[in-house]
Amino acid sequence: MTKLEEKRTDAAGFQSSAAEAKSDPANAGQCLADDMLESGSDRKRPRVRPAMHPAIRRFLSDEKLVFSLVDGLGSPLNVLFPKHIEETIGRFDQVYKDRQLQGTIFYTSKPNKSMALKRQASTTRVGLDVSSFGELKSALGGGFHPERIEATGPKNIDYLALCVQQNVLINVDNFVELKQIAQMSSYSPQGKKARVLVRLDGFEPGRVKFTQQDSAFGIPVKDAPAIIEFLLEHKDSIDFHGFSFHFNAGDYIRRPPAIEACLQLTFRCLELGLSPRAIDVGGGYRIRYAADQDDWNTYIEELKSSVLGNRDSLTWNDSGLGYHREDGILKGAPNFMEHYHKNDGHEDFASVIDTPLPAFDGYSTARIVSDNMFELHIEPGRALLDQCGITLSHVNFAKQSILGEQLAVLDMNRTNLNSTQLKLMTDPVLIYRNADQKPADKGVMYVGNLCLTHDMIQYHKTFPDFSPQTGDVVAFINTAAYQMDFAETHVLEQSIAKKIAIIEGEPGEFRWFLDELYNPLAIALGIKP
Amino acid sequence: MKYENITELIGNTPLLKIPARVHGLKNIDLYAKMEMMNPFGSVKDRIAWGIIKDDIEEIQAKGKTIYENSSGNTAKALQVIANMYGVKTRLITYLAKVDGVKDIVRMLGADIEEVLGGSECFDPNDPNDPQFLIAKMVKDNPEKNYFPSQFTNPKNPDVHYKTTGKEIVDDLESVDFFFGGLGTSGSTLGAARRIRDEGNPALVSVGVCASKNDFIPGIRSLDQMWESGLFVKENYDNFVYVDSGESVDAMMELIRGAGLLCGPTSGASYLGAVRYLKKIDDQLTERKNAVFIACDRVEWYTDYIRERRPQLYGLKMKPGSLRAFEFDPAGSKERFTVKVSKAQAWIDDENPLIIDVRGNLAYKMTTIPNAINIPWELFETMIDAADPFPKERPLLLVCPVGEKTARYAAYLQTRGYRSFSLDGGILEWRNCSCRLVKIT
Repeated sequence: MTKLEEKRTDAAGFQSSAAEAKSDPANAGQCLADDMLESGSDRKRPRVRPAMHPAIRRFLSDEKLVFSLVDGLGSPLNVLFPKHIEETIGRFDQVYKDRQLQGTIFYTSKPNKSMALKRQASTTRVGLDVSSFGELKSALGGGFHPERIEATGPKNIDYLALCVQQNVLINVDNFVELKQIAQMSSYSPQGKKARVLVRLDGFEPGRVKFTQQDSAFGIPVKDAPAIIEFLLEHKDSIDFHGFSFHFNAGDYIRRPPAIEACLQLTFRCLELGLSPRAIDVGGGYRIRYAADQDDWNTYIEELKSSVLGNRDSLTWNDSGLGYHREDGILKGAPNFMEHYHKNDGHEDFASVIDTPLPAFDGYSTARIVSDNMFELHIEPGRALLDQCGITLSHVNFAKQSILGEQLAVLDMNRTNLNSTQLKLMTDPVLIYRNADQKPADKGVMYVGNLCLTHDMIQYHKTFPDFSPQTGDVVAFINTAAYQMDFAETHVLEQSIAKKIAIIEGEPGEFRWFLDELYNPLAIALGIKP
Repeated sequence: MKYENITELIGNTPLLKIPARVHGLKNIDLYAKMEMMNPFGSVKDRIAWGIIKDDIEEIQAKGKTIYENSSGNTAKALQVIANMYGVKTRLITYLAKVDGVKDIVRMLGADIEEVLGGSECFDPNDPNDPQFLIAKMVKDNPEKNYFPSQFTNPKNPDVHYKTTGKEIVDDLESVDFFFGGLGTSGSTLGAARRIRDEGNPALVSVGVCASKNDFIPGIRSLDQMWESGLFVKENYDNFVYVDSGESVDAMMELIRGAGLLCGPTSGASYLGAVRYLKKIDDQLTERKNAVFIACDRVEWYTDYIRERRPQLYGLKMKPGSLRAFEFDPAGSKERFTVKVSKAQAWIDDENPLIIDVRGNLAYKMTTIPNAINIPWELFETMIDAADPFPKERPLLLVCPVGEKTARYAAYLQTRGYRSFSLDGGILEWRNCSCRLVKIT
């Protein structure tokens, strides 16, 4: 192993770290903050170590393999670990089982175009959520039977027609789509009604008030009576499955009133003679990017301290990542995500469906759904891709910026990491190839290969042990969700990243496939053993 | 002692020595500043009154509304005072996390508005942040609105300088260590400044913080403190992080060991104090005094405490109870289940009492003919406590998928009932197109 920090990879899982060590009875839960505040190197050189699956750690330890892949297939290179999606799906599935819930977890295509991930997911019980004509075609090619596919998003007529013809579950975004579906119903497969969910938004706040946020998606909940009337008129051609909504991560206060409204409308539909059987509560469950809460807190505290002028800058051009100083006080809000959550992924989901609903005598969503034998559908886009991929890049060269920052110029650009919206704040893992390593005392900033100013890969400073040099490889961890190919372009005719899928036989024994050639069925049958 | 007005009872709280057998320190006397004995129940009585007392008559005369960013102890004290003066309040906060305190504030007549924040912590720059919303409303109509602004008002630490700090100095000849939770930071800043100015310039002042993903009422993480308008890091000698569950444990130590019916935030300060002091206790050659703030009372935190330490509520398993019953779902299932395919014939032969244990709403929407409804929360209590059914008549228990009722049926058989669970539950019943009825 080169300079990968040795970490605990105990049975409890890969996310364990100092945070867990702290909960040992031996030194239970407490930590003198001055250990963290003043203890020299940590505070001066704060690190945000990434949460890392043990198999990814083992893969990165196989330096010869890593170098040969990046050298042979080109930089940047996206490396997928399709097997890991099964583990995450299993954890979500357990939440269903523990509450005796029926319904479908829809794996979402949108965050990553990988065929390997789709094919792996197709071998589990999940459905697939597509949001364009192209994604629907890939889904069919990825091994999903149309009855397992749900089509979301705004739909043009070609997309909608293919949905109707393939009898996929259509999550209707607007009234026009619904009318078009009714008109097209005679083109459905023989004897099959078009299957639809109706996406709602604009829910009234309940006891808890919130400021309404505008949205381009869904049908206003106040228009539901008109929708129900239309569905009743077209009962013979449209099979109405239920109502849906989707909020982004963290919108916890808006969910209970939305779920209540959807459930109340569902009961209303039943009384009126429709047969809705599902409620779709969308996605928006978080990923834990950082390995350790204290790492993350420390970095943010130091970032704020730097913005207040109490230490050297931690951001490119001292931009502050959303924070600024005003009259000596910190102002602004972060323009990056929280990288550490106590409850992420399936736990986040469980807390949403276990929240008591005031309009239903304090029963939880899970209880109401299970009692009434409804199905519960979810689309956990980001959360299912946790630990499913990393992005590798060559270092082109090291240099100093005009104002003296130490730069590592990578053979990739910011479109390869979609870092414009979703800033990845974890430290990349460095795999050093050069023997003459130079200490990186002042920290390093990662810059891309575009002949444009400010092609920053990360806007903040990281503190590796040594300064990355020409030929070293940098690995960004946990990039499968929205960061690999979401906004990747051929800007300046630079390469876009190839994708490969990695599987591990015995621990530490890795095989790779081009993403499009990865086929879990062929592997299972021993044809590509 | 006679008083004219309850606000005269604010402050002048006692200093209680915590017995050494409770905290275990050998060379340090640890005192609780009994802020929980303020008339409205917390340390916040001081600042609520301290900030508005000079303005309250004008607020009353002009018919102004008091706005504040709190649904906790500050809100409670403000509401009581406002009620006495016939002044309206409006409390705007993030979704409150301690329902017990919030319920009392509502009961007092407060108008609480909870807002959705962009972030989970105090962020004065978020357009949905309470501080921001209130500042804007007050600015738009300064003649009608009044904002004490506990997070930014310098009167907050000043009140503690003039009262809390002075009282401690008057009561104790020397104070060597001072501990308080970091919330608005008013109490720790003000009191510590007074102790330094008058008593001991070498006072060690320690701020007790909560970890960022944890929640201790009235305490924030150090990270969040940067955004408080009052916080001055240099005024603290050190910071201690504590965990909310352990703070509850420490609170129980005070409750059971010292008779101090204080809340979890007091527990946090006490825990921070003991942990910090234990490290230096052995090396001391002379006796030292330490003070922590016991900021409020335990009563309104029962739900908060239950979430973290359910065992405190006597949730022990009584032998022979349903809770203590070890169920093996794999073992000879046919003894306590009835298959849907044979169920109708069995019902016709045996005339069982059919009990649907789902919620009442679901039962009313659709159920098995002749079933009665006892939702499982009630059902569990009933069968744990007594024998509510005749043992001669068979029982058919129905839940959504037959998992819960399989356990109930197996358990009740050990108690001599002829109890059976509908295998696969009502879902399987429906899937087999058996007859369902709607309760009207």
